[in-house]
Amino acid sequence: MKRSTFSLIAGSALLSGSTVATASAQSYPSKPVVLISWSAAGSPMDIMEREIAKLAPKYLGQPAVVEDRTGGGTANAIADMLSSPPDGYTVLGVTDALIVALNSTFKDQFKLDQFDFIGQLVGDPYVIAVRAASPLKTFADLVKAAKTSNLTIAGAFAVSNKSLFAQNVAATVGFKFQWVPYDGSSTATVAALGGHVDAECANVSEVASYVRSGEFRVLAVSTAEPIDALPGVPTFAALGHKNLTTAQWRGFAVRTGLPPDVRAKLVAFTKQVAADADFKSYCAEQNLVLAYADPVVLAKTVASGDATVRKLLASGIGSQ
Amino acid sequence: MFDGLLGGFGHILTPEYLALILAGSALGIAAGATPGMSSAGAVALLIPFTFTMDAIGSLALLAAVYTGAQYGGSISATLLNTPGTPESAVITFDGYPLTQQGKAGKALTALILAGLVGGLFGTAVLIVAVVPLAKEALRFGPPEFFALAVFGMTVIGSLMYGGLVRGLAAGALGLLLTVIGQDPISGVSRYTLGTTQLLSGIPLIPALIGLFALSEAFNLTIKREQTVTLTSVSTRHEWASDWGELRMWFKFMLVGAGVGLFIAVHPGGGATVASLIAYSVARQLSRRPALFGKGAIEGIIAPEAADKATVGAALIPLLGLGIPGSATAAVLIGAFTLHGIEPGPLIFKAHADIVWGLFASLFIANLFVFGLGFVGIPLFARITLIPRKYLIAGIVVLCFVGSYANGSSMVSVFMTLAFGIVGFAFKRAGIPIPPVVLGLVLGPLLEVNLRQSLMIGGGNWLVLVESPIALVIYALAIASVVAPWLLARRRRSDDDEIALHAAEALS
Repeated sequence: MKRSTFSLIAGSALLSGSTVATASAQSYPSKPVVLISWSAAGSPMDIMEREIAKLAPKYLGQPAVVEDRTGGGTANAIADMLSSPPDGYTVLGVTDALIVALNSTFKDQFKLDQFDFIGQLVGDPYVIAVRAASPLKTFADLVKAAKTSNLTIAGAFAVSNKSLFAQNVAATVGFKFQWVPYDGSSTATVAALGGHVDAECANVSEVASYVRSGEFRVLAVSTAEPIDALPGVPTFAALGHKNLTTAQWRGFAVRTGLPPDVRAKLVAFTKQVAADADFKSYCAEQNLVLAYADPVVLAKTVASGDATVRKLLASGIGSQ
Repeated sequence: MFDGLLGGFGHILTPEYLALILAGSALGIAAGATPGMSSAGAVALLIPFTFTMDAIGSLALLAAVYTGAQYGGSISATLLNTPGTPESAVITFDGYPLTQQGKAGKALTALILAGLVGGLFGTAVLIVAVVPLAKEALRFGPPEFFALAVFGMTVIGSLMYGGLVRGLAAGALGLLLTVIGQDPISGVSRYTLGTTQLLSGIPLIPALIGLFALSEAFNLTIKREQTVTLTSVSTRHEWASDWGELRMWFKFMLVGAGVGLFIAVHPGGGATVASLIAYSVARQLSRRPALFGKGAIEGIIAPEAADKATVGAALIPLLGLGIPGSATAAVLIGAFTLHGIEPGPLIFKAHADIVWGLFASLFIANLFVFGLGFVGIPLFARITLIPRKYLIAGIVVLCFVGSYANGSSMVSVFMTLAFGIVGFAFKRAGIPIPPVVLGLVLGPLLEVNLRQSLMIGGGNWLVLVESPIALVIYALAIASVVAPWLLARRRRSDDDEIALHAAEALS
């Protein structure tokens, strides 16, 4: 509480603060930039930030340091970033999980307009997957099963972008299911592999290796076109549900009120990273879809994501 | 397989790697012994230092830290009633009473031996059966985990030295505390007072440090005598007094190792749950269950062996499925990924040399930890000789530094202080503290798995008893409640036979 109050005060004192910041903006960056990861060392976000940090000397002329600020269900990292001075030296790696959290868990702590999204780098599409031995062979089988039985779909957390995507699928196609939340994607995968639930809703990067080893079958993927990582898997769009073309995006956010030239340097850096050959090979390795979006496009993604999340949350989650 | 293992040893047996494993073992013991630094925390902290190493070196170092930390936690639990890691909380139940009786040397000797047996057992099973066991682990779903948690709760029966009502009340308090935080099923915030600090619930480590260590420091200040009377202290290595006792030690090492393996192979179990269940099983199999909580050596041997067996066991689902079997294994996934290795069934084809190198380094790390721990016993045990006033100050400093390091915030420090006061009050009122821990550890397991079971079963409670595995576990739970009572009735004649039957039923 204290931290977010402080950041609000800092935000309202923006005018006086920015004059100081502008003076130093000519030489930005003159010291290492801190990239905050809200999840632990070795997590997907941490690894992506470390890949990007390697490119900082090349494009920013200064090193970048990755700091893992875990705890409080990402609140600690968010509070740290929002309470930092608006000088461009503190950048937070974010995903659209933030939009869900701002509308649910962190409703009273943080507001969307405190964030300035400076660029999207990658997208991780969603899938509905079942274990190899499952009687559900196609997406149509799953829909049929949902009409005759208590269809269970597992995934990370009670209210998450995965639970909302699954809910969106059900609402679009017109079936009912029971969301079974787990404390992360890996435990949800155990439940699906072990046949304790009927299916799992996950991201492509999380299931790709199980698909390759023949343990998982993906029924549908949320990309516009079929992807190499999932050969022979139909897209939701091809199944007639174009509005289910989406992906969990990852990018960077800073607090509002950065001097324009500092912000421009960070925006340019994000764009340079997306075009870098090393970063491209990292994406391929991790089964991520390189999907750069500039702040203008990203702002639209955030706004429409926010609207979808609000609509879905209003209609009730995990109801049977 | 032997070719692979030989290759792994061939790769690892170079001065550089051995130095890394030795350093990792020593670091791990030190980190584990420090309250607030769990093995998962120690491994996470070291990961950034491994960025520049090659994959085998980095995994060898981290595996050694993991192995060492599991042992280090038990040293401070035994000597100072301060669980260095969450999984060593159970060691305080009987380890600290042993220290108070002047048997620190013996307790530490038994622990290091149990650790070696458990660790080697876990590693051996990992090497022999990683792929089939990883598949087997998938059969454990929410109903089975719920049954396991129910079984774990029955251990309260052995810890109610304050009487039935006080024991149950303490257990209930532990369970109630786990209600705080975000509802795992609906996502609603419960009793978080509108802050984000309590969203992930009462953090286990500050609670443990407060309940055991800080409360004991308070307790020492009002006592007049030294922790142990100086004349009767054993700080030397002390083995079992005769062959009969040594056989008993080994029996409980194997029981503990078996339990640890069984729990940790199933993702979602973890080392803390494994050590608690091993304690419960050990009490059932012991010929003197009444001694548990008052200094039963088998009460530290079984959990320690279980705890160390979880190191290898937690790697079974990690390597076989790409899914971690413990919190520390979850952190290790990051180390694999950093080197571009994807844990999972394909790892044996794509990176066989790294897997075998990891297996070999686990073996060596177990031997190194044993060696370091063995040599260090007289040194560690001398802690009990430190004058009380310095000891108290030292514990208090460790408590607060440890809890701050754990959460990087003052909130965990205040949490430790609050739990320290509660623990002290409990001690004065004769309320046992271990049941609180049982509730804290098993509460989330009970809640989440019960609710997941019901969701899967469409609201039908029968889903809980439809699984044969769950039924077996419930039968063991009932036996664990009824057996002590039966034992008390038939103690003189059939004591051994019952223990034997129970052992057979479990094996």
